[in-house]
Amino acid sequence: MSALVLLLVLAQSPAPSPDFRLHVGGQVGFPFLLGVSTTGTFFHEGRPRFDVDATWEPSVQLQSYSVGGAYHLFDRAFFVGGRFRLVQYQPPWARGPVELFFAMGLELGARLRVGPGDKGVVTLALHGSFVPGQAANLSTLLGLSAGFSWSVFEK
Amino acid sequence: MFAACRAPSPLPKGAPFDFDAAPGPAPSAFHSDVGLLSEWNDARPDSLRDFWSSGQEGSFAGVDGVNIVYRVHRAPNAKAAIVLLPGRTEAIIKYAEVIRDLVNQGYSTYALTLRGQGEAGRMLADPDKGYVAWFDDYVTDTHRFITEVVKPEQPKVFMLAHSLGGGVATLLVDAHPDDVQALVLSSPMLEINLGAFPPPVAASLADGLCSATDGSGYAIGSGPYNEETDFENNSVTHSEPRFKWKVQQLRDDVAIRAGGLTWRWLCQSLTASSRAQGLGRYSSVPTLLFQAGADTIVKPGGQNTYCADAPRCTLSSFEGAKHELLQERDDVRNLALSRAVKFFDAQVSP
Repeated sequence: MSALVLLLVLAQSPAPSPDFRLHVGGQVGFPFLLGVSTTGTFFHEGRPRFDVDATWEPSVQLQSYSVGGAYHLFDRAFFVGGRFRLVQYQPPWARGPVELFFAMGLELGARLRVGPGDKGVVTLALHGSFVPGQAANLSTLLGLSAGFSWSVFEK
Repeated sequence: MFAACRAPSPLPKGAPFDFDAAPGPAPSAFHSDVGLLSEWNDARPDSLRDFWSSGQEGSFAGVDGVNIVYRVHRAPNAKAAIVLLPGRTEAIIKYAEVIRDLVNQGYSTYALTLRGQGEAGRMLADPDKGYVAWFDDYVTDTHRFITEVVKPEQPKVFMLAHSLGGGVATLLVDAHPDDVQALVLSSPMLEINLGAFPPPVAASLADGLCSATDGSGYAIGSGPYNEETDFENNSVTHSEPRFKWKVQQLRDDVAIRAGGLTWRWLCQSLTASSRAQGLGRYSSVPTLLFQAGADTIVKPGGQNTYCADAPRCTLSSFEGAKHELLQERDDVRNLALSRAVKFFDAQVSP
């Protein structure tokens, strides 16, 4: 708990920041277990305002290829966002047809800037995806994820 | 590939099949459940057990070498072959009554157990676990059965498929449209009833666990085989004799028992049934779909979607009936069989 408070305090602390940073990182979650992503963060007066990302979440069952966008409320750590996914409910090596489904969803979460020069980002998110091409039993996926990324480029 | 890229069947939506106008047997022509147990246990000449013994059992190695068992009952001068696909946990022997009725109507029957059920081989060391590696393996096994066992004997092939078998059948006619010339689906598994779990929770949980593990663990609410003896609260039939007969079959032969479902089976089946219910629009196969009004195993939505989309599908509902229409009380079961035979008869010389 105290670590989370410390992270939040660190996240709120104004620090010298460029207008844009590109991060690469990884995440764990459920039902999308693992992921790798690259995230671009746009800053306004030293605070994050918008993020865009591209994320790949493979597993032995679910596959997701997605792009997301997020808006940081009051330029703080918390964000609301949207995500467009291409989802496969079977791995590419499955026997039988493996179909690709378009999905769209909402996300709520926080991105906390940590580490030297605030170059690290810890992301916690809840998400729901609607898959219009699937039948009722599989048309909604709910989940959560936690990730860490590191700035590799800034401008 | 996106499913929406395919072209639907060019056929226009046809009129529903008219059972009243069609010639064929009345419900009274079919077997009654009165005295069913004693007839089975007495083994007197011309009894149901005697008929059952006249069948020819065979087997072949299915996908990954799993032993697939089938049973053939040939009718003299058969009108056609009917491939019988049972549901989850079901053995062929449970259909002995149905098979005799169909043979009496002039059809040879070729009944297949799906892998992991009944007389067929299992994929896990624990034979109770309801498991399948890939749902498509059911389809591949069935296609092989039809092409290698049934068609060499009978070029005209119909199919009667129940529940899980019905889900497999819809995928089969999509992948291999020439395998069967007519299809009767009894409570087909085109939308699984997930019970108390809201679908988003069940789907996320199942797909997450299948992504994280090999899926061989029992799903929540499932477990090893547990003998069901409470007829009043059973969820599949109103026929007490048929219920008791099933219980006896499972006591007599422990090898045909199957227990609860695993996460893997659930994930595979959710994906397959979701896909299957959208395949009606691509099917040109004459199809009769039986829907049980009081079904708690599968939901009607998927069946409605499939049949509304399929140009040559007729939906036939049975108000108040439970899931196993072919094991239901005589008034339901025999009406269903009467309709099935009328429908098949109409396809013999369409």
